[in-house]
Amino acid sequence: MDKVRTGIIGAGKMGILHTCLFNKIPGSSLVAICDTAPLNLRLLRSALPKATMYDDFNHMLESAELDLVVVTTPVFLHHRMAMTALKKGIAVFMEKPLALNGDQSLELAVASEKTTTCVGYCRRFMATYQMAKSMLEIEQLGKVKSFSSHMFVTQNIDESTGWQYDPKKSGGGVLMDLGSHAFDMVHYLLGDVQYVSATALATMPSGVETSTHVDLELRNGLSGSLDVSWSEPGFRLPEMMMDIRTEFGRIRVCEKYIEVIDDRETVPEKRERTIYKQHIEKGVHINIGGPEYTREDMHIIDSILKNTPTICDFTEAAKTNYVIEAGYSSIKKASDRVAPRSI
Amino acid sequence: MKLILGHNQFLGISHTSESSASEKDRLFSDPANILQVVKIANENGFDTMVIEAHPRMRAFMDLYEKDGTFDMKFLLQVPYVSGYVRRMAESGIKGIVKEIITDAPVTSLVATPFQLLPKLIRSDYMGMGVKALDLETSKYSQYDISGVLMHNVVSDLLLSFDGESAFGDYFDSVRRRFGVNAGLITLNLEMMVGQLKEWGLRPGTVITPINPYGFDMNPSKESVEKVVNTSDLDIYAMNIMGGGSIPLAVSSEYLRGLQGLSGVIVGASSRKHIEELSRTFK
Repeated sequence: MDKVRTGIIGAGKMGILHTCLFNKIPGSSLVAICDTAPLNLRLLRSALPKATMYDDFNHMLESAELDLVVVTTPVFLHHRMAMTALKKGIAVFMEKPLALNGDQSLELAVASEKTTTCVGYCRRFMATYQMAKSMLEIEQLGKVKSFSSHMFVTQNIDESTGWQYDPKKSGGGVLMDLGSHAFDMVHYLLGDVQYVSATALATMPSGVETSTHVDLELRNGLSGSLDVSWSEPGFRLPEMMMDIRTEFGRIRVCEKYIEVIDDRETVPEKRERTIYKQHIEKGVHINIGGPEYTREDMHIIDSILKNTPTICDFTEAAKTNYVIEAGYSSIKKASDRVAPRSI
Repeated sequence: MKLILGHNQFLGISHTSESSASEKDRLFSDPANILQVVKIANENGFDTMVIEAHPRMRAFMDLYEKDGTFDMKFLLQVPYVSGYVRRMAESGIKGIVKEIITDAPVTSLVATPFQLLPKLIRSDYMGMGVKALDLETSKYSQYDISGVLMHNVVSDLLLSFDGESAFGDYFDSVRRRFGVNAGLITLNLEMMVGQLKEWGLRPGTVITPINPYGFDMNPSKESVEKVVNTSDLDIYAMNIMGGGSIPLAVSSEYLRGLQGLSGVIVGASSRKHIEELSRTFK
């Protein structure tokens, strides 16, 4: 195989973004798009005459001879679509989160043992978090002692619009939406979660949580906290901040920068330094919505062509679903400590 | 080196800090504060600025015309992407249509259905999108606009869709309305310039990130430098200081080494910063 025959399901914001990228990145041949809205299909047909348009994903998976399917639909459709693709041996890229709940995620992880998969936890592909991971791996500032974190955005919430606010379609509220990115980052940087205690600080009239505090205990003995909110003032763009305290200092990392404090430094100017993403991000083949999206899409193409695992396959992503589930269980039990199922 | 005043600071956009973004958003919600900064920039050698198709910038343009004490050239950036995103979130496609047609001149609104019909028959949906851009620029017909720039969100999207006819329509509509070559902003200079050349299209001003760290220079710093130094297009650098993360002296020294560069777009919101920029690039 020298080109990965790629199909996209869903022509919303993320579907269009991945369509643009898989149409241009090396190693990918965009051959099919599926959406249920006729207008979207007409628009995409006029823009991409070489790709075949489908209004039924089963039909697309049957007839398009795909090597890779990219699923960008609301979460409640993820499990059914991915299972169908995996049974046919088609690799799957799934927009986050993997599925509605832990058990659906585990089923997908089991079914994908022999197939390349990746979940779009895009922060793993951002330069600042990658730099933090490298620093933590070599224990540049000694061993990690504790952490606190937040993921905030200022969002206009209208319950009447958007599947994100309907738990039957999304799997939950802010804990599922923004929280999934944050829990994934905890896994990526610090380790697996052993216990979760969560409190919903604010909810919509429907009961969906919009602001949550979570205390986490990790299997490696670390403990820390996470605050997640859709309605924190002053965050035009989402910010996922990890504040990690270590033996000899502190690392604060978000999308825009990484701040390193080394308590061993005696020269005051060298003690604290801020490295902005502008200093460390490298160019990509084509940048449409941010270099991280290009990198994650090129990563799965590369993994398929070389038959190597991705850095966030379904098994890795299922852990996050179980942590979210434990969070909801804890909220119901008045912040009791709940252990997510281990995989 | 020619200096063009950027406009992100006036809309409360910061690439390094959300708190700085909020502070600027508050300050420049009063267009009189924008006028004051632009006047200082003009006194310091900036004769051109970028404005976005944003209600705040229209309020500023009205104030500028009323003030009448200095002359500035304006490059209009379209579309008003953040407004579209907000309207889309609030009320879907209907919201975007409302955003586009609100305040558009009646003559343009009347002509639009007749111009859209042939495109609809041909299922030329990208051409219809470009018509929406044209409708948006029509709100600025009353002002002295010296150039139009397509926002990178749209230009790079069209590039990824191989949108030859959409780019052609855009170039035609800008020439017809303002009598100038359409320009564009892109994060993918090498691919964009190569593709437009293949299609026989020549843009006016091209704006792209160029800075010493290679941030947002795609696919690589070296490839962008090569295009800048070999192309006969008017290429201007933006993001020259990486939203404040790259020292001005480091950036200016690097930019001076790029012989093919026509100038730089730079944002500033204080007299001190404007004077520093003016001294550095003089």
